[in-house]
Amino acid sequence: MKKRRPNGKKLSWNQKCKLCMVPFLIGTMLFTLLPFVRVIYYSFLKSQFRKEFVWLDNYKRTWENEYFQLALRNSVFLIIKCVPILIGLAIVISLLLVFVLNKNEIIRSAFVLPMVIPTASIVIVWKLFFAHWGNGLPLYLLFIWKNLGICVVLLMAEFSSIKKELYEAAVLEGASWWKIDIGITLPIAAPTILFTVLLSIMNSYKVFKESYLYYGTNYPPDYAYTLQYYMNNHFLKLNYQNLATSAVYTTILSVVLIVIGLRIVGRYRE
Amino acid sequence: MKKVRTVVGILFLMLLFAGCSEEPKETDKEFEEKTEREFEDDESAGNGFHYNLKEAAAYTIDGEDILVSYDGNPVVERYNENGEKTGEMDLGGELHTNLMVNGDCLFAVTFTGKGMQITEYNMKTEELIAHPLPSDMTSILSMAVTEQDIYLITWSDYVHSDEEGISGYDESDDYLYMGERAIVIPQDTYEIKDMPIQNVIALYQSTDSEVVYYAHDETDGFYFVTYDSEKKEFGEKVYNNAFGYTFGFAFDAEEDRVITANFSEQKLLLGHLNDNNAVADLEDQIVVMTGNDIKYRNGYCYVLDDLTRDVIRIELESVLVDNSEIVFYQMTDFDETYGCGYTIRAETLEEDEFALSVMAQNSQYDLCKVSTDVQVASEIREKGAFYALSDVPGVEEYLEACHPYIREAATDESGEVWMLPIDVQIPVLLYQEENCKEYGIDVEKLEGFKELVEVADRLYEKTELRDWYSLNGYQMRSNAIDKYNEGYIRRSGEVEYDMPVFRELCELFKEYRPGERESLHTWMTQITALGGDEDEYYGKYLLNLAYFWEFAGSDERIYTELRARALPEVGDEQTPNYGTCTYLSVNPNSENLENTLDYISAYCSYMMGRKDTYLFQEERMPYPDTPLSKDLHEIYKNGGISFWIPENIFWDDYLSYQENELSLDELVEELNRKVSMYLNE
Repeated sequence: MKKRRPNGKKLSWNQKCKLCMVPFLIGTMLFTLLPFVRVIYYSFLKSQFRKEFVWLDNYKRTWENEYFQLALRNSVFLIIKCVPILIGLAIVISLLLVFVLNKNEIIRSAFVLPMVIPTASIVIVWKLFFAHWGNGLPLYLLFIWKNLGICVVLLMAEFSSIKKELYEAAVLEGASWWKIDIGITLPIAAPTILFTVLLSIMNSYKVFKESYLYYGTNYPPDYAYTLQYYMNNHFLKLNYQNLATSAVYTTILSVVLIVIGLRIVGRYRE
Repeated sequence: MKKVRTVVGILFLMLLFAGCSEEPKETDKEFEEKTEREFEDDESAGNGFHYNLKEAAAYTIDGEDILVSYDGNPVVERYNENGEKTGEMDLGGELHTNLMVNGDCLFAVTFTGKGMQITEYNMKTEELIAHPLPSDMTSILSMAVTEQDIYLITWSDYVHSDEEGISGYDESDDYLYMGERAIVIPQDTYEIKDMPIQNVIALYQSTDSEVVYYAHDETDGFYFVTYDSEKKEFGEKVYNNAFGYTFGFAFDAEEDRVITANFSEQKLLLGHLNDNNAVADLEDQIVVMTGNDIKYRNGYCYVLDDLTRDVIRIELESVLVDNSEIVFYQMTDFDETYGCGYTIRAETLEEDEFALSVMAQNSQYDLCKVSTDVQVASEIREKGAFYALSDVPGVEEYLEACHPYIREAATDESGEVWMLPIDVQIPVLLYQEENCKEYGIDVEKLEGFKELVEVADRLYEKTELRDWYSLNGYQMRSNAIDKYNEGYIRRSGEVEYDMPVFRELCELFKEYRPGERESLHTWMTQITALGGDEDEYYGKYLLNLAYFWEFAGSDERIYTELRARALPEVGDEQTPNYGTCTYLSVNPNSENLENTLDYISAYCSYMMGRKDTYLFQEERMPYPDTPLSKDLHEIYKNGGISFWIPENIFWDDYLSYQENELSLDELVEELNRKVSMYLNE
């Protein structure tokens, strides 16, 4: 006996999906959005202990701070330098694994390994290999190596789900391997690629743990000083206002990147 | 739909701004009313009635009187509640200790030329009976006398017999077995028997027929257990680790309260039998050495203070404050702060845990106790994470009495008092002037750290002098760098390590590497190693880098024999004698604000009564007319409080420089970069 709504109508698929999302939305609302709104509120105060509105003074001060600018620059550079390489590598490896080697299951597990190895042990090995490198390359490599696996797994799943008939039709019409990928695989997988890009951007913020262990200080070389260092140091300095404004700036940066990503994907799919 | 959206929007905004009100809390208002109250500047230190006795050896209570024995005196004297002598009893012998009264009889452990005995003196009939104790029994720690038996805790060769189950040192709670044994002597036979209680520490007679033992077991720590002398049976063990090791205690059987003395902190404490945490301080600067020196009777605690050898009577209700527990957050395991009768509890947190608590506006703590050598010390002021103390009764008077630089450090830019400084420790060079001159060392004329370490080299060359000086290389290096940071970086506001002064310091401490350079050692002969021979000790004493807390409780001889000077300058510039300050700061979000501010007020009163501190402009220190005391006063007068730049910024690079992994130029460059970042990010 199927349950029916009081008016006798069954729930549509979309309605059922929305209903399932309600607990998640409530959780996001309570534990992410509301606290973030309070963060915004505090970013307009002189101090959380002296509740005096200073409007945009904190934003201005943070923006003008040379070390915030350095941190922001380094964080953006990390994204610009590493994320395209990471995604490009992940796409190539996924395509090879799905369409050439056909060894999904075994290799999938191997690629996830970097994510489960404890950071401390990875950093020890990294220090052995890159002991005297006076630039950010070791950190960039660490970031790419650690995140490549999850990107490959996500993309492999997407590529595997594309219907074989599409490729067969393209082959019959004489399309090259390159044209098939550009014309069929990538447009279909574009949303997943965008998702991996966003995930990688988010993970670039999280590379702080590895960086902190690698450099072993709150004040790493200038080229490695990212927004997370800036925020962590202000946490220890009890400076909630700088933390809040930095968090807002970071969010703005992420939103801008997401919007740009969506636009690019939208145009590509058109 | 619009209505629903409006309601959701309103609820959202209410939730958002909940707790953001700028209305003062109820407790704030209540406290503001209280500030009208006159602050009593109590000049007399201490809480109780002092009997003004000299060289008292033991005492006991008889009704409202006390009976007191003295060193080398066979007479026991009687004093009434006003401290007036009203009679005396001659018990014979040379010294009477562990006095106890039971009925009409006064009991004492008496030392005679032949050994120890228990003396039983009938105060009505003046009849005297002596019961000799075994010759191998060298000391009695505690005694209780009931109708039937005499109970003792002994400390002697006799008790050192190997016996299973008796533990040695317990690292977890600092318990140390020192040969104590519980014995019982029935009054009818006077036959000595062991009580079946191991690792016993002390006992107290709580009623006419009940004795409470304090003991330790390896699994659960310290415990109390009662023994009924009529039924000859023990009660249930009550574990309580709030008091730790102690020589004696008193027990209030009606309210299950325990009064004891903490030997290392020199405080008299009160706690409840069943409460493992909350302990209130009754009195400061009290040392109790034997189990019969603390007693409780009818709301009063009596204590024989081993420092002054005087008996003090403290009315508990006048000292104890019925407050909600005041919680301290701290990042270092400090000595316990004096509670002024308030129930207080300290929790030690990691620096990041503390930062999270402050930023989350945690209301679960009331005070933080911070030393200026940790990073957050100055941040509490910078970020306004404090309740301003300017209007708290007593704070102004206290700060007014302190040296100006202490007051300055306690005041923020807007003139608000943001913290209460409770201690300042300035490193000093303690030296024996004549002995140093004999070896050609004029300590007063040492101009820099280089001369100081050269002195260490010269002294170390002569084998016979090695044990008579101590210059801790690590401490010297830290002090030198701190002096540079405060005097050259913070004062000028410019980060510049590329200075000849700093380079010379780095090179000096690279050459004189702490931990490796044998002449910069930390060991020095202690007076105890000479069997307390002060003449020999001061006859050879040379030089020691020390802080005041290390010798604060010393007797007068050190103040007359030694001199002190501040550490040398790191360059040509004259800088203050920098030291670190420990302070209390009130949590602005405390739920217990009223009690906390009252406690701050009481603490100011307590500090104002102290006579053993160099914080004050007026000379209020031990033995004020002695050379050492005058030197220390001068050093503190020209002092300064340093807020340390976090050491982790320095040491990695500094150690790399020491290991030749970094050149001096690279070190200087790195420090300039990191400290600029720290100060300006």
